Amino acid sequence: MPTALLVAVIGAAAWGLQAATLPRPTRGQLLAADAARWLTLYRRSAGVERLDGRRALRSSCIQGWFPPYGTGQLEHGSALELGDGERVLAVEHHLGVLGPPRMSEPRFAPLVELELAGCPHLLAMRIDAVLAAHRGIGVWRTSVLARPVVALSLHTRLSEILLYVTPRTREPIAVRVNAPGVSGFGSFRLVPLREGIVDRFQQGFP
Amino acid sequence: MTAETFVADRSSTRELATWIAARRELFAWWAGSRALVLGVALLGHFTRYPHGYFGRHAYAWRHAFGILGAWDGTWYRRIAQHGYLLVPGRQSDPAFFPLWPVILRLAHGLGISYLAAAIVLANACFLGAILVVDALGRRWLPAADARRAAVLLAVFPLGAVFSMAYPESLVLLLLAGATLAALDDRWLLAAACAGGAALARPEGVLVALPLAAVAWRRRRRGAALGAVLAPVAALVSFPLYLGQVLHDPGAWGRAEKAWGRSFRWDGVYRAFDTVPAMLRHNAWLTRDVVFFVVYLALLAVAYRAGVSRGWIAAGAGMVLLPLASGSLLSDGRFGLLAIPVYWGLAVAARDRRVHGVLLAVSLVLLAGVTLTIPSLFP
Repeated sequence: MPTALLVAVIGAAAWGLQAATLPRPTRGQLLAADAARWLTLYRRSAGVERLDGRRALRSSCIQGWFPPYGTGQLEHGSALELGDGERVLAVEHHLGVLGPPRMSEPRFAPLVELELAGCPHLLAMRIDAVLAAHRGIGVWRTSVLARPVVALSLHTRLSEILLYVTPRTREPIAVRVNAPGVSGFGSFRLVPLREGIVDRFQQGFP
Repeated sequence: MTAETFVADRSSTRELATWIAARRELFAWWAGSRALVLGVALLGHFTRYPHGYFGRHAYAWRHAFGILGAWDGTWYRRIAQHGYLLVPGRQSDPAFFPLWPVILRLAHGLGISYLAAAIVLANACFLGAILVVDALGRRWLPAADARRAAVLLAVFPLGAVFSMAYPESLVLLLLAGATLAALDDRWLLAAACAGGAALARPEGVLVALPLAAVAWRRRRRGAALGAVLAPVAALVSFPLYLGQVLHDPGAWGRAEKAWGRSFRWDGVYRAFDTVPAMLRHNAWLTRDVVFFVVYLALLAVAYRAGVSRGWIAAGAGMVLLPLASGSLLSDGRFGLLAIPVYWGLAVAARDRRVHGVLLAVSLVLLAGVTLTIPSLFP
């Protein structure tokens, strides 16, 4: 048998075996993985968010290492600063809120605020959890803030997240979150982390 | 049935019985060593000791032989169930080669659970591998050495992996089968086996070296050259497939990076440089360092004993190439596919007392490795 023919037959058979046997990811999973790729490229997001029934607030979120208990021991997580002075810190086993007290704050409000701000690490974790569990991901075209987008419906354990990504690059630009007792919408940009910002954030979490 | 076919059937049955009787020792060691591994796994299931990294409600505890389906076995099962998906920046499944999950999915289609299919297939393939390694060894070594090598393979301490839901036993069978077929001038079979080996584990592509050595020595071209290149063709089909379904032909490399493995020019240096830090972090990793040294020493013994240079080069590649990813982690398992290691071990154990001690120590270590699967991934 000619060499080239045998090599082609083996290569084609190997490819065909994979293609014929293994299930393929859904369009929603591929889009969500692309969105997660964007989120892993950045450590900061900035935008505007609004919990339903409240006023819109500027938001700025960074991913980094923070001292959550004032012990000096750093833990990895996300820190959010809102326009009204509220600061939210979410590290591995700790969620802290600093700032002006709010009346009857729903239990999940701080977490939802982090998600609405587009905190890259947190949103990426949410997407990972859905992908790892192989939960179905709804996909449809719509528009947000007069921009055409693709909406991804992600069902996490606590909430339903509608993540809006640009149709061409799949970069996440907005999010709607519906959690028990609290919901809202946020639009954001993923931006590079500048020197000094982490220090400023860390000073807010003594 | 005519008298002729009746006589022919009786004769083939007698031949099969003679064939099996000549290999009774191998069947016995395979059955004994696998009974030990499965028995210890069962003991671990009932005692849940040592707990290791497995949580109280871990999947591994839910099934009688669950610990044999743990670690990478979980990932292979996920691929068989759901296919590939690259999750950027996180450990994800394109790091694992496709043939084993393809076979698991086909077996599952017959109504067998993924875990049961994986354990039955792994152990059956291991029996096949022992028999083929015995036959292959006779081409380079005296029959007694070849037999001793096959027996030592059956009880090899890290050989618990050959009973796990891992593709290692399949790859070992295909590697040995490809070389044996080539030596018998059955190049199409050699090409199929070599292609299968490369589609199951990246080290499988190294079988091209012993096949090339046989083809070169016998001045064969055509199908022989095709068999030499078959593992490369099968290997290339994987990124092509990933490119088709994930739109990313480099998904394997990206997934490997998330697993802490990225191939760099200074990888081997980094692998040794990080050993002290690795050992401080987890003393169990001494195991991989010890096996790395043992493998290289046994390859040298096999080379001196006259084993094919092609196979020595392939074996050395299987032990050394993973180091280019900057880590010695799991090198003990990767080296299990370096068949000349067993031939080297057999030559080193020509003395009956040494052989006896090796068998006893290997069996104890085999039980120990199986018992500590929850604490230390293979």
